[in-house]
Amino acid sequence: MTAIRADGLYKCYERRNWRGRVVESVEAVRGISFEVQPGEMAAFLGANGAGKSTTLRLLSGVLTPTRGEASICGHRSGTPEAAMRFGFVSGNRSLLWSHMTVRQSLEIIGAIYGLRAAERRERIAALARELDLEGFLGRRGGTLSLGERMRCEMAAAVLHRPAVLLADEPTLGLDIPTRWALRELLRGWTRASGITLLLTSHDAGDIESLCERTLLIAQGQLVFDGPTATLESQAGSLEESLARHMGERR
Amino acid sequence: MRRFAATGGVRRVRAVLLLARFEFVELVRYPAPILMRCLTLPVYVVALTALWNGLHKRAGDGAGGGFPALAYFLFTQTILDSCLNRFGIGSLVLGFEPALSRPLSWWAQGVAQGFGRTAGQLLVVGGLVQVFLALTGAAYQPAMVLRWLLVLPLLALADALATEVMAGLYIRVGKSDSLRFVVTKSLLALGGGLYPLLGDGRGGIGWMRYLPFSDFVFQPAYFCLYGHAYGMATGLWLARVACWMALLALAAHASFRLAWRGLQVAGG
Repeated sequence: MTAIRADGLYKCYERRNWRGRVVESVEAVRGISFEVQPGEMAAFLGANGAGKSTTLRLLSGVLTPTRGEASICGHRSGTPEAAMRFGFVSGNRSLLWSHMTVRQSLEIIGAIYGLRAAERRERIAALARELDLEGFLGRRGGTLSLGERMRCEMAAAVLHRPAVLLADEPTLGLDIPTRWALRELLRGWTRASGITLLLTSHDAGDIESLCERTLLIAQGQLVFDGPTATLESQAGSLEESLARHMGERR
Repeated sequence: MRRFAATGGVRRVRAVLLLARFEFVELVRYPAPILMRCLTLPVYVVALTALWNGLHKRAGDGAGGGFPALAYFLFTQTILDSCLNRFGIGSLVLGFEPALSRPLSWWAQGVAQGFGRTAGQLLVVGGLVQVFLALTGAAYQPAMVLRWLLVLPLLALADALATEVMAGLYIRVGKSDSLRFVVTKSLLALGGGLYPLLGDGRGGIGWMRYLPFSDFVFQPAYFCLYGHAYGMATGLWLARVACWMALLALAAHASFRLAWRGLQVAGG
């Protein structure tokens, strides 16, 4: 079964006046189709405003497509069945409750996904060891540094052992050592668990070290879908190749 | 295919209860922010009580005309201070998008969060009020504690639903502070905080007691003092509260739909 499937995804945002008439419309995603197989690690790249985050929000069920369909492990996005099968981590939005301790946030998230108390405690302890969170579990989400918070976000996203991990710029704003550590963590963890990864990032290093496949989006349309190595070979480096592709389509 | 320990309704109920419990526990364990916000409460209460007692002395009724003004103002101010907490609204707004990608509705998460937080606040501040009344002996009866605990869940649930309405509107229109201002000031003006000053303490409030604001401020405070509702059977008051709650729940759901539709159309 396909882990992630986008079939003719189309999303149009509209601004309406007080009469309800559309005064402005923006096509954020224009008929994107792709599939990601179980265990695959794919990068989803594009310039700012290209439609990456909108596509991830469509896949996660936060947004509903204007046309087309998205599914996770064969279940239509936006349904509880699909929600049970993926984890979402974002550099922009926190999954944790800022006024609660990390442990409390993880406990609540575990309960939302139907884990029993003993199972929750066991998984939180295991993730705390794997992601080196032991020192943060008793701290409130709002008091963590960005690097600490991102590790906790990762734990929150994978606590229910999802089949798919959607990661929207997880290394955004991190300093070089923290970014490197988080990347290593993500690589080790995803390979060990066999999880399917769809990652958006503006950092070529993230893609080089994590993803063997790259999907490139420009102006809401898919313009490249192939091995990351092919993109790399098109120019001196992946970064240069991406800059060329994105620059051409602006 | 992955298996999960609990399914559907059971899973949702467990998650909602845990969320409410943690909100409640956090507030009770660390009440400093709430207590800081309540620092001005004694000023209002002392001023209003002095005003009430002064009015009655001038009218030759003796001190306060027999109405336990201090206890009444303490209860009503505690209720008013717990209404539509700005932090609560902000927390629900921030949690909107993450909630949409989880298998539990934002609506349920919001009600659980709001209920836990408001119940915690009413317990902490209400508990201090009871201790204060017991120490000063001002119209204190041990039954007041029990009565306060009886009305606490109703007040917490009503506030949770109202907070959800505000949060939904905030997400949809970008700001709901003006509306929050109107609602909190309506509660202050029409909810009954000042009713004793308008009449003799038990009368003179006329039609205002039939407003929904009165059912959530004046009547609970009156119930704590006397053990029954003012001017109507206690059962009728509770039935009215149940009706307002049902309307609030519908409004909260409509507000969620509005916020959701706004996100779909404008992208947030």
